[in-house]
Amino acid sequence: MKYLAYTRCEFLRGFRYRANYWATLGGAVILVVIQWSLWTAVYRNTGPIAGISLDSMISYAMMGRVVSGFLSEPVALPAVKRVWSGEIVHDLVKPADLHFQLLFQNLGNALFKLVSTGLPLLTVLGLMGVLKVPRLPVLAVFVVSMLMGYVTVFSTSFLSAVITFHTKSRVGIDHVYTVVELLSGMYFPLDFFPGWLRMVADFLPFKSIHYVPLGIWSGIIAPGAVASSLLHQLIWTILMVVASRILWSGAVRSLTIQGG
Amino acid sequence: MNSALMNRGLSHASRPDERDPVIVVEELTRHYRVRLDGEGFVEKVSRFFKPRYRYVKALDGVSFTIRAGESVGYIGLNGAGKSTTIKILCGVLVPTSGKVSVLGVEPFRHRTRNARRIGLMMGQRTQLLWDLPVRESFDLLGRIYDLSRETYRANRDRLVEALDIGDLMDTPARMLSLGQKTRCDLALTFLHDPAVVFLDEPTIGLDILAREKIRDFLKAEKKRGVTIFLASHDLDDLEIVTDRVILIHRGRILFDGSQEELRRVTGDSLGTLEDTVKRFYREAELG
Repeated sequence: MKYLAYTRCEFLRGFRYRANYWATLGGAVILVVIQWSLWTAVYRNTGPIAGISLDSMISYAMMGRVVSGFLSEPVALPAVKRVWSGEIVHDLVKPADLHFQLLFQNLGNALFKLVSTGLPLLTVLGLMGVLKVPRLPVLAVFVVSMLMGYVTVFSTSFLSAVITFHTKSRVGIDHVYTVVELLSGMYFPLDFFPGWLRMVADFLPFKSIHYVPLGIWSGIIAPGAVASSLLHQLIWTILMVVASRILWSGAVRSLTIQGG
Repeated sequence: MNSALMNRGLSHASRPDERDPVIVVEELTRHYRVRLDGEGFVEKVSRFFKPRYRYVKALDGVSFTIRAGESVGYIGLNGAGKSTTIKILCGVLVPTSGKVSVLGVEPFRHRTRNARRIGLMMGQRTQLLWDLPVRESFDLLGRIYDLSRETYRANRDRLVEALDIGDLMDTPARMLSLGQKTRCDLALTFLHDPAVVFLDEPTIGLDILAREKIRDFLKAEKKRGVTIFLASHDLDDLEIVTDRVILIHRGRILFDGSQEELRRVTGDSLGTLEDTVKRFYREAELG
């Protein structure tokens, strides 16, 4: 699969910046400590909150830190900047689809973050006994779910970038993303939401990014609900990729017809 | 051996005017719509709701045919329509009207198919991966163009030698000088054995020696049978590399013929191409 060549380049690119790497790792360690302290403090004098035990919560939050780089907002906006500056001409004159170019390029960046920051964290937390690795079938389902989470977070960013291209204005996109992070379950599980917000979050695609994979890992999503959660992910993943392709080809058409 | 190379070999043997046409452009026009900004506050606001446009004719009925193995210089002042022509031929811009065919296909309808057989280099832009060693850019393009391992290695090694970039392969692109970067970009442009290559000001900003290296390289590629379409403001480039020149002015073709013919038209048989073209502009009262 030739697109993996883009993944490789972007993966290797991560290793070019050593200072950046150590800063990222240091930041990740601090966030792990903060999250651990926060949840132990919250749970000090109480039993399960919204049906979630301290153990599950720690597992959700710590694994959240491990995969946060992999599932962080991708850098699709620079591509749109390239559109405006005309740099994209070179990318369009390649026998490769630009949407997939970006998807696989960004996958390289995500994998770099997972391997360079996530894996050391997972190892240390595992050795300390803070994180317990689930049984193999659960682990496999988690990986599949996390990959769908990746496509969702990429598509969210890509779609907003393409919409930005169509509206020629970036206002609003940046503000929306904070809400997306909240609805994705990045800060805490959706179980803590008030009922109406939970309904909204359950319908939207964004819970696919953090809540579903982490919920499966930590057991917050009950085994009986895993299948329907995966189905939700799958449907939205397909819808978002299809929407991306439609809007993207529209953008390319208007680029080639109007000349940018 | 791929079919593009074989075609090239065949056409190379025959006389120039009997070779297959590679690029056919007929009555090509391209208009750009420019939204007009109003004057004064009220007009600026009202134009938001009811925009008015001005139409710019970047290309206004351009026709030419380029046959396999030809090397053509495309001359024009800034804004004459050179880059627009190249973008249309590469398939990244749709013409407003007219016919275009590159190697038998309409580029904008078959952009990807077209992309496999053409090369594009823009002197002002780079396709090198900014922060990775040059080698990685070669590897990436080798994969993207689906080159077999042998073809890839052979082509890469040939170009590395021809452009003398062996010492640069392990350097990240961002640390290269402009001349080095240009040579690497040029090598990448020819990596997949394109039958036609479009070069938009390849020597812009380069010193005299760097320019000479690039001209020598292009002359050698021409001998190999690659069709070269070279747009440049550096007419020395064109004088040395190309046989035929096309002069475009405000979207129309003013001259299309060999350098000798252009000299005959202007009656300037001894001067450089630059002198000849200057005289041409003066006599046509365009300058």
